[in-house]
Amino acid sequence: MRFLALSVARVVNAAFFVASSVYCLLSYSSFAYAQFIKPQLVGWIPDAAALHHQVFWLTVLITAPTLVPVLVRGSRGPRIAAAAYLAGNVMLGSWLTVNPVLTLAGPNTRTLVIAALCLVPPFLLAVVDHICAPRPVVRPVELSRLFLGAAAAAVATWLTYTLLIPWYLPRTVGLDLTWTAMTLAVGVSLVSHLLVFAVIYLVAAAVIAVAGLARRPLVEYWAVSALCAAVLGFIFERVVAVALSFQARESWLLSVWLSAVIAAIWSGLAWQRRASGVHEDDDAIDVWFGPITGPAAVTVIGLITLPLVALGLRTAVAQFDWNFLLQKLGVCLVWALALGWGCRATRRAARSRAAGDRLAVAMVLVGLAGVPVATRVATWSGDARLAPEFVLDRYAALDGSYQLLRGLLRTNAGADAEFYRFLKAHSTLGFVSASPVDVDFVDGFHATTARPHIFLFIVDSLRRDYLSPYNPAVTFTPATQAFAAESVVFDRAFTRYGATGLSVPSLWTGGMLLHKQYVQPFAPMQSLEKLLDGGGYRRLMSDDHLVTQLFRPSPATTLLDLQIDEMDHTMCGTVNELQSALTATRGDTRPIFAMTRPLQLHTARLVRDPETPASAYPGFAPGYAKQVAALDRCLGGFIGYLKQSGLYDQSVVILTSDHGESLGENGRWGHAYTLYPEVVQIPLIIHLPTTLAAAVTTDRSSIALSTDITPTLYALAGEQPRDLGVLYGRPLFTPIDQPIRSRRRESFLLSSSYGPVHAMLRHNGRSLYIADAVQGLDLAYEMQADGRMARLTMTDVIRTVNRRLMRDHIGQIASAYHFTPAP
Amino acid sequence: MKQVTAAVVRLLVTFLIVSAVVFVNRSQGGDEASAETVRCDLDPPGDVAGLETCLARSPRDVEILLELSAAYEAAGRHAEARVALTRAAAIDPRDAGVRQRLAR
Repeated sequence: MRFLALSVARVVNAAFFVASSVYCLLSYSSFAYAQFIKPQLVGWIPDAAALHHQVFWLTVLITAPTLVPVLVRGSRGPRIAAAAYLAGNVMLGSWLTVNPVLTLAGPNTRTLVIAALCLVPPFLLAVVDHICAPRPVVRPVELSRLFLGAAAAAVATWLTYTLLIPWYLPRTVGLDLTWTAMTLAVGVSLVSHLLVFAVIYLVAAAVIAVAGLARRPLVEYWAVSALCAAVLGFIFERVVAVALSFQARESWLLSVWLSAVIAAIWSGLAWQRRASGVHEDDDAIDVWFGPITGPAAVTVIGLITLPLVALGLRTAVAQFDWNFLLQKLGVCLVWALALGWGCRATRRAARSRAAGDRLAVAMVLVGLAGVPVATRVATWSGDARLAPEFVLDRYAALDGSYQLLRGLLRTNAGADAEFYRFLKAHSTLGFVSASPVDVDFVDGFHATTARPHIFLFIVDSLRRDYLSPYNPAVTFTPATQAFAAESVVFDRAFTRYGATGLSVPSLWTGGMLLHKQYVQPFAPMQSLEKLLDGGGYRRLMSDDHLVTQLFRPSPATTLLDLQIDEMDHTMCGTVNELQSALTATRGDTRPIFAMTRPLQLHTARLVRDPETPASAYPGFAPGYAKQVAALDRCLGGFIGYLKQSGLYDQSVVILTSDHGESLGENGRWGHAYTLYPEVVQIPLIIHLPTTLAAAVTTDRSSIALSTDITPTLYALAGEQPRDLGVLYGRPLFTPIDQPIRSRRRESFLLSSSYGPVHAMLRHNGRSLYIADAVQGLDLAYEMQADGRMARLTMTDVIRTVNRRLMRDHIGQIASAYHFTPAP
Repeated sequence: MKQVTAAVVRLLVTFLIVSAVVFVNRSQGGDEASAETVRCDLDPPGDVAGLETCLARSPRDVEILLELSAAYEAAGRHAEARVALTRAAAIDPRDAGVRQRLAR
C-alpha cells in the first residue's frame, strides 16, 4: 500500500514537471507557439500556465508525505537528502510564485533552457529515492531468461496488435487489402517484431556481458538502466523530437536529458519497490521491472489483457493530429509492459547462454532475409497489389506496433539522406535572418467606383468530397449545390500549404512564402491588404489570430466574432453577425470585403461534439458530415440574405478551404504534417456578379491554386495583375476576348505548414509527389479516370524529376527572401 | 581474460548485426533517371519522332499525347492525331481541354 501511494506521488510529480517542460518545448517551437500557444487556441493551456505555481505547490504537497518516513526514521544521509530536497522545493515554489516563468515562455533560447531546467526537480527526487532506499542485492543476470523474455515480448506485442486487426479493419477508410496481402503483412509484422526484440536482446546481452566483467551485479543493474535510457532517448529523438521539428543538435540533447530523467525516476521507483518487500533471488532485470511486475497471476493477467490496454491507449488519442505522436508513445508503453511481463513470465526458465544467443542470431537472420523476400513477393506472384510499399503501408494503419517498428527501422542514406537534410534546412525556420519581399501584382490602383463586393469564406479543414458539387453521393449540402449552380466550380483546386499556419497567409499573399511563421513585417507580402487599401474596401473580418497578426489595424476594419474563442467560430455565428453589420451600415457606399474562417470542422473542435450515429450519414464520417450540413444551411441562409438585399449580383462570393482533412484514410487523421490527396485537394467555388460573369471565361478543369484567389480578386476588382512567376498565383478568369493561358506544363510546389513535408503537383493536377522528411519517405499519386488519386509505385524518373523541381522551387523562395540555410 | 575476450567478441558481433539491420533497412533514393527520360518529362521535344519516343517512356502522359496530337495535326496525320486525343481523354476524361479538342 505504501508503495502504491509512493508510486502515485512520483507519477504526479513527474507528470507535472514533464508537462511543464513540454509546454516550454511547444512554446520554443516557433510554429506551435504562433499557431496554438500565443493565440490561445486551446483554452485550458494558458489557464494551466497561469496556475503553474499553484499546481507546483500542490505537487509538493503530494510529494512531501512520501518523504516523511525518511525524515522521521531515516538515517542521517537520507534524512539530509530528503530535507534538502523539500527545502529546495519550498525555495523554488516561492520564486515561481513571484516569477511565473511559464507565462513568459516564447520561441527563444531562454525557454529552451527553462524546458531543460523543469526536469531537474524530478531528477533530484529520483536521486533522493536512490539515497533513501537500501541498495538492492542482486544476483547476476541469466542471459537465457533475458532472451526468453525478449522473445515472449515480441510474440506478445505482435499477437496483441494482430488480435486488434478485426476491430480496426471496418473502422479504417480506404483499406483494400486482399487476404493474401493481409497474411503477408501479418507475417512481415511477426518477423519484424522478432527481429527488433532479438536485436534488443543482443545489445542488452552485450552490455550486461561487459558489465559482468566488474563482477558486481549492481553494475549490471546500472548497465540495464543506462541501456533503457538509451532506448528511450532513441525513441524520443525518432518520434517526439522529429514531430516537433527540432534541429539535430538540440533534439539529441533534449532526448538524452529527458530519457535520463525518466530512467532515473523509474529506477528510483524500482529501488523503492524492492525496499518495500522481500525479494530473494532477483537479478537486475527483476529489479528494473519491479514496479510493473508482481505475482505470477498479475503477469499472466497483464499479458492476457494487453490487447485491451493497447486498444484503450490508441482509442484515447486516435485522432490526435501530430504525426501519430501519442499513438506511437502508447505503443512504446505496450512494448515496455510486454517486455517486463515477458521477462517475469520466463523468470524460472533455464537454458544455456549459447542457446539464447544462437536463437537470437537466427531470429535476426530471418528478419534480415525477410526484407528482400517481402520485396520480391509481388514480382514472384505477378500480383502488383502485393508490392510492399502498398501492402505494408496500408497494413501499418491497422497495426500500431508495426507502424512504429517500420518508422524506427527506416534509415536514409545517400541521396535520400542528403535530400531530406535539404528539406529540413529550408523548413520550419525559427531564428533565421530573412528579409520581407515586396509582392506587388500592380504598380498602382485604378480610380474606379465599380469594384464588386467580396465575400470570402475559407472554411477550415473543409474537404471537397463532402460537398455535393464535387461528390454526387453527398445529399446534405443542398444550399452549396444551389450556390454552385450559379457559380464556377473549379474541379482541380489545391491548397499551396497543408494546415492553416501558412495556407491562409499565402492565400492573402497570392504566392509561396518562406517556411517561417512569419517573416516580419508581413505588410510587404500582404497583397490582399494592398488591394483592400487601394480599392477603398471596408472590411468585416473574423477576429482570428492570423488576422490580428498579419493585417494592420485600420479604421476601415470591423472585427467580427470578438470575444468568441477562435475554435468556436462557426459559419452560422459569423454570418448572423455579418448580416446585422451589413444591415446596420446599408448607407455606406464603399465596396464590402467580408472574410471568415469557420473552425467547426477542425479536428480539435469536432472531438468536443457529441457522437453522431453513423446511420445519419452513411458512407461519411458522421460528426464531420453533420457539421458540414450545419455549415451548408447557414451559407444558404446568407446567400438568401445577399439576394434579398440586392447585393448578390454585385458580389464575388468565394467558398473554399485552407486545406482538406484526413478522416481515417489508411489510419490517417488531421492535416498538420501531411500533404496526402485528401489534404491538398480543396473546394473552390466562385460566384461572379452578372456583368463580370458575361465578360470573362475560364477553364474549370484546369489546375487552380489557393494562391490564385488574391490575384483573381485583383482582376475581378478591375486591376490587371502581372504574372510574378511560378511561385505566385494568377487570375483564374480571363477576359472573354483573350485566350486562356494553359498551365499544363507547369509544376507547383506545395508544402506542409508545420513540418519539412513538401510536394510537387504536376500534369494539370494529375500527379502528386510527396517528400516527407519527417518520416523519411516519399510517395507518388496519380489521378484516376474517376478523379480519385491512387498511389503509384515510386520510380527513379518520378523521384529524379520531382526532387529536381522541388529543390529549384524551394531554392527560389530562399533566394527571394535572402535566406541561406546554415551549412 | 577469457571472459574479457568473450565480452569483446559479443560486442563486435552485436555491432555487426545492428549495422546489418540498419544497412538492409536503409533507403538511398534509387538511381538517377536517365537524362533523356528527364528531358521527356520536363522539356519534351516538339517533333513527332521525339514525342513518340517520349510517349513510349511515359504512356500515360496526357500532355505529351496532346502535343503529339498537335504535331500529327500539323503534319496532316489527322487519324493519328485523333487516336492520341482519344487516348488522352481515356486517361483523363474529366479534362475539359482534352474533350474540347476532341470535339473539334
